[in-house]
Amino acid sequence: MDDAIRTTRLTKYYGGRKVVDHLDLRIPRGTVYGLLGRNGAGKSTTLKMLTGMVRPDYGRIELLGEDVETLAPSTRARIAYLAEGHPLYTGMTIAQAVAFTTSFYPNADRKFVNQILDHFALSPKAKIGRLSKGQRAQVSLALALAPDPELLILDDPTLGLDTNVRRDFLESMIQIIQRRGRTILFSSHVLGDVERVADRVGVMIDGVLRVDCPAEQFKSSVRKVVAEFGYEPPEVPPCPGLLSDWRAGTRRELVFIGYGPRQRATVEALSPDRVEVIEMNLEDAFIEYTRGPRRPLPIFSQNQGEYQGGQADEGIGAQGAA
Amino acid sequence: MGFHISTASRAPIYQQLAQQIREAIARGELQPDAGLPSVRQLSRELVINPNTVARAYTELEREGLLVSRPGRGIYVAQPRNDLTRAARDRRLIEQLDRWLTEAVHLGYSAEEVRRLVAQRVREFHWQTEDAA
Amino acid sequence: MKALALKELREVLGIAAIALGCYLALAINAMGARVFDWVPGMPAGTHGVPFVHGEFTTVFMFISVLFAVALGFRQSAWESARGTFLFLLHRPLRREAIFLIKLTMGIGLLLVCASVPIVVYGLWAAVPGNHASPFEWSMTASTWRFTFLLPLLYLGAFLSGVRPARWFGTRLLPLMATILILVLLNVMPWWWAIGFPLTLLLYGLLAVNVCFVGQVRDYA
Repeated sequence: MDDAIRTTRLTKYYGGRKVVDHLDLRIPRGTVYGLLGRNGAGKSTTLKMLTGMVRPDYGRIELLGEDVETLAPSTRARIAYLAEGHPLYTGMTIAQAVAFTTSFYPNADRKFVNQILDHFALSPKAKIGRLSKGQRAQVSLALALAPDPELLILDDPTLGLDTNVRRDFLESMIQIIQRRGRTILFSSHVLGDVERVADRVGVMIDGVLRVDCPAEQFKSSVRKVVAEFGYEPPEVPPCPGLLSDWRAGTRRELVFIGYGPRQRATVEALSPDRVEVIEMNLEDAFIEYTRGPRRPLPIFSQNQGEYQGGQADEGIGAQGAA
Repeated sequence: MGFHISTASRAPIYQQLAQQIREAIARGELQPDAGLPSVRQLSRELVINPNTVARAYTELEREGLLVSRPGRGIYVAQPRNDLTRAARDRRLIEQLDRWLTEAVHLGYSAEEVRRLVAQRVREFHWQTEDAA
Repeated sequence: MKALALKELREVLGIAAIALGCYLALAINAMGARVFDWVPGMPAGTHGVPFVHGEFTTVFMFISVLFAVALGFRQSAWESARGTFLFLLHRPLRREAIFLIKLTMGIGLLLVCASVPIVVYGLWAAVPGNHASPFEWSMTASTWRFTFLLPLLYLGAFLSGVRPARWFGTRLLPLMATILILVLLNVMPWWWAIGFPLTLLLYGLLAVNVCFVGQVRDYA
């Protein structure tokens, strides 16, 4: 078995909404996988299903070759999970949290944990409730590493951390990666972080894994396709790599990661009057995507400044968000 | 060595790193037989995945710019010219033509271009000395 | 296991201390100290028959109900609201084990704390001359019986706290149901033949239900 994580048609509904939609994710052992997506794209729900915190409505999950439904505690001990926001017992001191957590793992390396805490300059006597967000993330990471896990599942670990702390955290992640053979799955909404750290990148959009490729391929072949129809543009069918899809008057603006024959065929099948393919920086593409769909612009107000200036003007919007 | 990675750039990180090492060698900042930082060290320094560093090194090894000495590390290779003169010319002219086309479109004169080239040439470390 | 048990104890120490304080105040006042007369409903003085007539039992029940419910919610809804279930349930223990340890510690603490005022007040009343009316330990039977029913309330609160439901009212359903059952069992005739085994059975059913809900719910 050389996949650390394998899901088959994993599906979850909340109410009537499909939050995760037939997800087939395969992460070979030793891979660092970065899962990108904006809030509500289904990243967190996916990771919670992987760790058994949320039960899928449909589909199967195997972690380290074992079905999650019946995951043995001894297998769970080989997996670290950092939930979003780093929930910890705020009433404990760091030392108490270390004692509590390591008590569950016979092979836990307390000395190693203390070294990490020392590295972050965290005092064992400090109360967890009094720590900053960044410090809490660091404690959380140190605790997760105590049993020397083979697989780490990190749910947006740098969420809410300021730039310096985020960099510190990424540095620690790099050091974790350097322990050979470890598999890491982490979700993030920060493109740059994923690019730095991941071997492989996935992008989730509305519960669907739209992009799944090696990190170095991720950046090439990002294209913005502007299709002019001259009338109400038709809907675009789901297509791998389709990052965003906006309607602007009689045009449709599509952003693709990995623009190839299949994507071209999808666009051509809509038979637009005119198609323009523009090379695009991934960062800009991603900022546009995370910013969410813009309201379709009425054709006549396209050149008028007062119409939601920032949203109408891509350039300003992209810089502002960066 | 000050390598710099930008995630805002359009180029993948391994290409950015490979290009910077190529340039450093061409400028003479990295002399033949100079040692490069280990994959671990560089990945920690630049906060990038070690596999990315390894990939850049492998690519440069394939190009013959770097050699790895097992158990000791990675070094700048001795320059070697295994391409024929004609092949080398062809490769350079191809790139030069592209560059000159750009210069024409940007509205440079031939004299300005020559001056610019002479100025940049001084910035690089040349393997063979001749009367310029 | 031990660490988890200690963690549960440590977390409810505050609630237990408050409950114990109230219980002791009640016992002290019932013993005629009249220190807490200003508290509405407190038994003032030593009139009546201990455990049979007088305000002791009413106030004892009142404190106990609040204590049991607070304890149940503190050990369940608190972790749910803080997101710490995501931390706790990833520890390499069976989920049933985690919940059963929680319940064992909660019930244990509840019973121990609730016994304190009964024992203290009973010991005092047993000393001749302390109290006007005669005292037999058998007079404490109905108070003990009520104490023995308290864990049902605690389990109902715990179940309400761990059970996700959109509407607050349906969420409190298990707690309401256990309150009703408690009232019925408290007046049930043939206690040892029916009431006692039935209570034990309900302990078990509720604990199983807690484990089941803990297993199948989404910690979203």
